[in-house]
Formats: sequence, C-alpha cells, structure tokens
Amino acid sequence: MSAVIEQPQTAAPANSAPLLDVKNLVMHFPLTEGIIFQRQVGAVQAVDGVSFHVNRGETLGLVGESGCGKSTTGRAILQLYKPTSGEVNFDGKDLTKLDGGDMRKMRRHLQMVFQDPYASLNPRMTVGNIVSEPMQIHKLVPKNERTQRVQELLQTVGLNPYFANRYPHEFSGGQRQRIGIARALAANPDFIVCDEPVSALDVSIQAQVVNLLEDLQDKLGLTYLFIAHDLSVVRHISDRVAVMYLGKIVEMADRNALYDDPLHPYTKALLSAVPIPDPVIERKRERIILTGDVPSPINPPSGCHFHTRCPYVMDVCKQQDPAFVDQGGGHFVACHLYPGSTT
Amino acid sequence: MTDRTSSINNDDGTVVGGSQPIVPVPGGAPLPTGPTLGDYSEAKSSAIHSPGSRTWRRFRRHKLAMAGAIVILLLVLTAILAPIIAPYDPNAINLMAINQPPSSDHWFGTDAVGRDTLSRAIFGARVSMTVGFFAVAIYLSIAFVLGATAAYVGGKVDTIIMRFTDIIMCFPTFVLTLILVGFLGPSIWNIVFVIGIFGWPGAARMIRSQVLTLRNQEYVQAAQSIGAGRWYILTKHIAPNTLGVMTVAGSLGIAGAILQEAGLSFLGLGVVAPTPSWGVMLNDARDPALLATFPWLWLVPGILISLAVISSNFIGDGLRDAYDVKGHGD
Repeated sequence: MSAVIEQPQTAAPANSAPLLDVKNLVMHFPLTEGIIFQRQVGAVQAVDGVSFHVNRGETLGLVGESGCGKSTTGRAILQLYKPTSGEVNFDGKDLTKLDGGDMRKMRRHLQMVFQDPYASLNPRMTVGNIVSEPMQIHKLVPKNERTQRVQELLQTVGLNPYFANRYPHEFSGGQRQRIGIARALAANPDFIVCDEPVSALDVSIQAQVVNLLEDLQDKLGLTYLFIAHDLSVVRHISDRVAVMYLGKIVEMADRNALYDDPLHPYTKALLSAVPIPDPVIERKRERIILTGDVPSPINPPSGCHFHTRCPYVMDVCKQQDPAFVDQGGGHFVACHLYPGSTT
Repeated sequence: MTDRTSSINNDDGTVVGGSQPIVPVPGGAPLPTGPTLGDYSEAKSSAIHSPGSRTWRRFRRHKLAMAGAIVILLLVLTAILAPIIAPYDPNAINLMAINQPPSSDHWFGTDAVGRDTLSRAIFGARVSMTVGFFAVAIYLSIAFVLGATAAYVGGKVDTIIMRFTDIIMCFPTFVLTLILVGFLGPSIWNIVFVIGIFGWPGAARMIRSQVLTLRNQEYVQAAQSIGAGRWYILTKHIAPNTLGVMTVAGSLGIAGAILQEAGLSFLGLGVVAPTPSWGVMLNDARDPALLATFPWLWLVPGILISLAVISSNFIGDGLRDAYDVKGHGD
C-alpha cells in the first residue's frame, strides 16, 4: 500500500486522557405551536443526560433501537445540532462553548460517515470534488496537489483512482459509502462518528466496509464512535459498547463483558434477540420478549425510562432515576437491581 | 484493538451483519491495492455522464418538448436576425400595395397602409422574445432571492416573506399591471419591468419548497460537518440543485409573459403603435370588416403567439419530466 496517508503522530496512545469526553449531554427539540406567535408546548427529549468517553484509537459502539437517540447523540457531539446542555470535551476543548468560526476550524478533526450513501453525496458534484471539499474548505493541501491527494484517498478506500471525475450516480451503495469514507478522511481527522455506516448496505458489502473501517483505524490511528442497531456488527468492530434506551445510556462496558455478561434487563433482552448461526445452539436460545412499545420521548416515563417494559420492575424504578454506576472493571449500568443505584 | 487480524470470523464465530450468512472476506481483508473494484482502463475511456448530460438525454426523448425547443430557438434566431431576413422594412408604407392577399412578393400579404405582414411578424418576434426572456429573468431572480432566503433562514424571516408572497398573489395582477403601465407609459422595457415585479410569487413558492427539501439533505449536513459556512453551502450545494425548478418555472413563465405582452399591446398599453409587435398587429386587425376579408392580418400574429406559448409550455413539461428522475437509473 504505497498510497497510505501520512498521519501525524498526535494520535499515539501515549496520551492517556480520553480524546472525547461527553458529560451529561442533553438534546431536546422544542415543539412549538402557532403560526406567527410561536410558543413552546413541549419537547422531544431525544437525548436526556448522556455521559461517556472515548479513548484515543478506540472504537465505542453505540447501540439501541430506532428512535432511542443514538444518531442524535452523534450529531450533537459534532454540533450539527446545538445541544440543550452538557459538555462535549474534545481533546481538552468544550465544543459546545466554541463560537461558529472556531467550531468550523475544529471540524477538520471530527468527521462523520453517514448512513445513507445515496443521500450523503451531492448528485451534482464529481467524486473528486466531493472528496477534495474538506481540503478546499480548510485550505489543507495546495491546489495543484489536490488531484493527486484525491487519487490517493480513493485508492486508500479501495476505489479506482480514476473514478475522481465521475458522478455519484454511477456507483453502487458500497462504493458510495467508500466515497463518503474518503471524504471523511480527506481532512486527516482524529475522530470519526460512523452513523450507521453499514445499515443501508447489502450484507456482503457490510463486511467489506466494516473491514475497511478497521484497517483504516489501524493504519491512521483513528478513533470511532460507531452507531448501529446491528449488535453483531457492533460486537465485531467495537472495543467498548454503550447501550441506549430512550435518550439514556443504560449500560456501558468492554465488548466481551457486555456481550458475555449483560447486566441491564434491556441489554439482556436485546442480546437474546440475536440469532446464533449454529442450528444446535440456536434451538436452545431463549428469547426475552419485551411487551409494549417504546414510550414517546415527548413524555418519557418517570424514574427509570425502561420500567414500563422491564420484567423485573420494582416500586423504586417508577420513582427514582437509577444512577449510572460502575459495577467493577468499567462495567457501568443504570439499574436498581444493582447496588449503588439510589445515591 | 487486539484481534483485528482475525477479521470477519472473529471470536466465537459471530458473523458481521446479524442474521444472514455472509460471504467471508479472505485473508483478513487487506486494503485493496489493485484494480479490484473496476477496471482502470474502462474507467479512463468511457464517457462521463454528468447530471446535466443525463437530463439532456431524457429531455431529448420528449418529442413535443424537443419540437417546442426547436420552435423557440427558431423564433429567437428570427428575432436576432430580423433586419437580415425580413424582406421589407416593417414600417415602410407602400400605398401602391394595400390590403394585398398573400403573393410571391408579399408571402403573408400587406395591411391597410401597405406594410408587409411577414416583415412585421418577424420584427414582432423581437418584442415577444425580449419580453419573455427578460421579464422571466427579473422575476426568477426575485423569486430565488426571496424563496431561498425564506427557506434557508427560516423562522420569522420565512413567515414574513411567505405572508408577503401570499399578499402579492392575492392582487389581481393584470389590473395592477394595467395601472402601472398606464403610469409609466407604454414601452417595451416598462412591460418587462411590470411583468417582472408581479410574476415572482408562484416561482418563489416552488423555490422555497425545493430549498426546504435540500436543506435537510444529508449531503448538506455532510458539508456542515466538514466545516462549510452557510454561504458556501447555499452557493455550492443548494443553488445548483434548484436549477431544475428554476428552468421549469422559467420556461412556463416565458409563455405567460409573451401572452401578457400581447394582451397589453392589444389593449394599446404595450409597445408604442408603429413598432411591430404581435399584439399590436392583432389590434390593427380587430376591425370586423378586416377579420372576414383579410384573415392573414390576424392569422399570422395569432398563430405565432399560440406557437410561442405552446412551445415554451412543452419545454417546461419536458424539463419537468427530465429533472424528475431522482437519484439513479439511466
């Protein structure tokens, strides 16, 4: 691989402070009424006090069902939505306190890979223009070297470098997603939010893209926040995994700890739904079937958000929001079944 | 990041992608270095299909629209080359040849003072085409600025602009146009101006809704996440994608503007009398005696107006179909 991108050594794991430290992030979308004089009648509490950190060179998987706020979390970290409250500390700087211009300069260090490879590329721009856009905006590479750099990037993500003067509609979903990844890499970022990057792809293509992301991480020392609802993909790529339910993180642990020994009832139910590709074991698999629907984030349940569907529900769950407590070895859980939840 | 070499069949055999079986990627899936996803030589040689060329290809398949485009093109050429192609001076009075029927000297006959109908019709194309294109250019500019601002800024600005648009839409435009032209005096540029400042509300609404859609596209968010500013996103990502709506609104608008000019000229509020315009020619021929006996006097400008209006409507339809195909396909 001759065309590997030179990555500055800043991302070396020597620095032990987490690259991203999110504290009590809240993202409420106001609901308004009225045509001329608008007043707020409520809020969609998409993200409701989420805290986690991502170490350098690590992948944190963020899973949860549709509408639980995982994509919103990713976008609020990147300040694509202005968070209602909370801190997003990236490399020691609180992104929520940066003004527009400083944030724009900061953006080259944080990039995003989007879910829909069809909607995330401007149909009127050539692949070359799409991939070189970050360099153009941040004036990173001299103009005469951009073409060469675009070709290098395309090669890095496994595309033909001569595709640069073609248009997105000439590519398949997997190829488009590679273009999106090349664009995210163009500014030499440290951190990439992968917002369900493989959900829209065929299963065989999913594996290629996931492997590409892993290889890029090894070569370039990238840090990922990997958002997905597919538990198997998350298990494959993540070092640690956080499980979200209705705007809150209910459990976070090392990958193996979480998958082998889930603590939260919701995590247990989620994992029991994953089919096992071995018919003998699959037949013995016991599913925990949750009843009811996910409550509305406009008016979430009191106490623990999960108490309406939890098979182990107790009185305390309905009144008190459980604290997010380390149960040993960095295995955090927010559940009243475990000690320390009622501080 | 420990067991990254084991790639896809990791750990306990969990398969990436959940429930379905998966094609394993051999050898730990190194980054492809060679021409794995397409042949280089093929990529170099085959033609590039830009979105523009695809739209053009679909437009060409629309037969009526192509016919309309050819007619409009001919009319524009006629307007530009009028002094060269017109056989006579359009205003030259020839009392030796009044009210002549079509003949080899005067293909479409002459009028009551011996002016050549063909020459007048040819020069009339200048007025119609000028009014059509310039009035639409004015109102599309207004419509784009207002529509895009409303959608892109949003909030109170959006409310104010769109309520203002509603108000303008409620005015009986033709009456207002009559009054305004009466004030300004009849001249071709006054007509262009008046049609231009009253024509924009419909187009502004179309552009606003288009920009509202575009603003929430993922590629606009992608540009934001890269660090693009608002102005950059508006000019690089949003404006080029409103081109479709703009051309459709424009070609349909040209038809309306040509009709309005003809109407105003017919009422004597348009182009000043001796200057040839299709509307003026119709006005000259409205005497009941002339209608029956010298039909070429009104048939020629009448047919030309209809032809121009129908043609630009067909172009608008064709453009709409050509732009309407979203995303992929041919």
